[in-house]
Amino acid sequence: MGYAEGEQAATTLRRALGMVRLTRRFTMLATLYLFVYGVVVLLFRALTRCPRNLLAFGFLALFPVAAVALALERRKFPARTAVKALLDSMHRCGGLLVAGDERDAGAWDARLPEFRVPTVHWHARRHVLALTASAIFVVFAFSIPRRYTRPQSSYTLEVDHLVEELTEQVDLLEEEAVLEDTRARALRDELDRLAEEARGDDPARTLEALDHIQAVMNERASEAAEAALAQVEEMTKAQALADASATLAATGRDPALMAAAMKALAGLLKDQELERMLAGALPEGLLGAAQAGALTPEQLKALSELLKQCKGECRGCLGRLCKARLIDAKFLKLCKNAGRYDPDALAAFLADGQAGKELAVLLRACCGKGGVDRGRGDAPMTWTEGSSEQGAAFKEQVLPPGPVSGLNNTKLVGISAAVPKVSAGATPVRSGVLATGEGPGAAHTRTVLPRHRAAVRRYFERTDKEGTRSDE
Amino acid sequence: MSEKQDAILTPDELKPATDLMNRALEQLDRMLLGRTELHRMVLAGILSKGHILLEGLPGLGKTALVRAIGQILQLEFKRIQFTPDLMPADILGTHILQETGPGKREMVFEPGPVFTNILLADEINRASPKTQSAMLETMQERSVTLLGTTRSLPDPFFVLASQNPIELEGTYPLPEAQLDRFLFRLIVQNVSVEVLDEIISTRRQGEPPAASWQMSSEQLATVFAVAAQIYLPHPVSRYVARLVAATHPVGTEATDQIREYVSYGASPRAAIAIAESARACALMAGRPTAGFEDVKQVAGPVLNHRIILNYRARLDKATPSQVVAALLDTLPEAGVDVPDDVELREA
Repeated sequence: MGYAEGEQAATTLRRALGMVRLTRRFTMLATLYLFVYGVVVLLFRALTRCPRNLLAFGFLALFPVAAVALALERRKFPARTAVKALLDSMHRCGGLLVAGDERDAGAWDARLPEFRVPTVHWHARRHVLALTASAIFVVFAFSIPRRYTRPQSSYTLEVDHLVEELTEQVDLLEEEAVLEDTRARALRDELDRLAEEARGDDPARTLEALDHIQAVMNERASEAAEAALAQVEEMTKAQALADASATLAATGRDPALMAAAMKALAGLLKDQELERMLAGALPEGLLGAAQAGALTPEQLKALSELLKQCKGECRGCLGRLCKARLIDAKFLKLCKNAGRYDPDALAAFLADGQAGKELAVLLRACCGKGGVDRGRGDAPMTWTEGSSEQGAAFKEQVLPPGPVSGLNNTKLVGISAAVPKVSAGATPVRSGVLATGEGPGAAHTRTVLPRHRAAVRRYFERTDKEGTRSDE
Repeated sequence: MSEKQDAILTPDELKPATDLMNRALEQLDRMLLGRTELHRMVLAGILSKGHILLEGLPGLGKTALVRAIGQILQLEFKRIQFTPDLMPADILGTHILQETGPGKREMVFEPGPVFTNILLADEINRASPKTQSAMLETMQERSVTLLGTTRSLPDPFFVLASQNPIELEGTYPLPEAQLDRFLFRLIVQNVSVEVLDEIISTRRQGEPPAASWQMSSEQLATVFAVAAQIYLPHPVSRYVARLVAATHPVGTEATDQIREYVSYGASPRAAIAIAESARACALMAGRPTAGFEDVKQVAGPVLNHRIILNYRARLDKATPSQVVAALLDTLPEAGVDVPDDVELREA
């Protein structure tokens, strides 16, 4: 009890009142701001192509809103004297508490009541509902599709996904060095412009332009794919020749043939496109030695490995172009077969001169196509990856006993030209797998037609020239 | 000296005056049954040295109340029955030609009934405006001026007027200037059945018993001196000022009801009256300071005859008391701006 307690209670109440007022003010301002923000977002989305993540920075403005609320409430922050007067009134102190600030009222300290700080209740339901509604409005403004944000007369054509897809294709072509940087940049700018100017009331114009860009890129991609395929073929030949040369060098049986193989390999590697491509991948000395036809067996092996890597890169490039749907189905099939050794093509390449023909024969002998229906039987089979037996195991099943065991104890009674008589009630013998199906002992029921009977008789009556005869 | 000025009354200094007033109130309650609150307000008005207008039906004990107060406080009491033919001289007094010696005559002033401590102006609204105006100086200046000579009235001087709210035929409504001079307008209500039963069963002819204790003039002077030292804190005086300002339709804190019903608000004299009577209430409650509850207690009797309502209020049957009560409920005492949707609950 006393003035000190009254002071403390006034301070606590003042702080609580200030906090509630600040929260209330912030809620009101935030509600107002969010509504305005939602409208601005809608306007921006309707009038410009400003991306949503850029517009989302508007949420940061809630911090200044909080600062404004603080500044406004700071001015209206209840004075300490006023809060004490409020406490005086609520506790019915009769002016004693407030008089303590102005006069010496120490004699009445014990007469003051016990001060209980009143609780500050804010009936915030209306404010919270309004804030929630404004927040939902902002979310709605962000999530509504762009076509609904445009006026009906000039709404934007929704080509964002097409533009995005084409942009990705441009990026891929630029990355694969199919398109030059300047050309790729120009295409991207063109795509942005098209997306900006795409209008719903004239969709043909935009779509035709996009189709044109798509066609240009497909054409460039096809050209690049053809070139890559050709290079892969060349590299395949070169790899086969390198392998054959390495084999010949290892055996050392035919220097002339070896020289012919080296010469053919050098001829292949002198191709400008291939040389350009291999220039970065192969060591300078190795490429020079290969073009001079003076490779050692180790260099031949290294050349073969490097050619294999380059082929892989080319095939990867083709795969990415296929995946981006920049090349059509024809190339897709060629891409799948790209890099596979074709002895016929190599033979055709080596066809001129006797040495070339012998080399082709040698290569045919060295390298089979593999498989059971292609290539000669004496060609070595090329094993790549073994088949997995996973899920391919046969299920073991015990079959029922067959009818053979039943016939072991049979005895020939006679031969009749007619249909054997079957006593009534006798059931045909069924066993084995036939017992489960429709076939009910075919020997008992099959009818021998009359025109066949003579043939049957002759069969049983014939004398076997080798000395065997029927049991009769 | 300054320390003395800066200190409010101590409990020991206050207690004798409070006891005296409570004893006077106890005597009043014993003599006149069933009107404790009215008696408290009348005593508060007397402590504030203000005049009181009692409004009520005949036979409710207004005269008996004034007589009882005079008896308890040992003050001179006179009664004037106001009638339409009553003249100012009948109230204030007049000069009479008298023979003061052989062959010598002189105009001698014969004081009227106003020269007393407690004047009961019975049915004051029956007198003509001319006669009513004779009361203005006496009530405000507590003096009478006749033929250029001003004569002071005895101290203390109170006017306790009564008027009948139903018999309005042949009456002259009090002018606003005169109404404003009354500290309180108190409504004298009927008493309950139990009180009536007690009156008729314990008192012959309804005569109240004589006072068993009377306050001496010295004691009364002590009470007045202590009442003058009751302190009015600044937040409370601010509340009084805001309250009176809010009775004006153009006031910044005027409520919607005030703007709709009130033509003219209360005068500064009303603020003074509230402050003084709040001090008196605080003394009677045993406090050295006037508080918000004291202001609320006296605001109704002080303001209800000072607010002038318009015709719309008459049509809606709104009374000044209702308007003042609504204003007291609406206006925050401490001036803390608490929004409507924020509520302070006692812990």
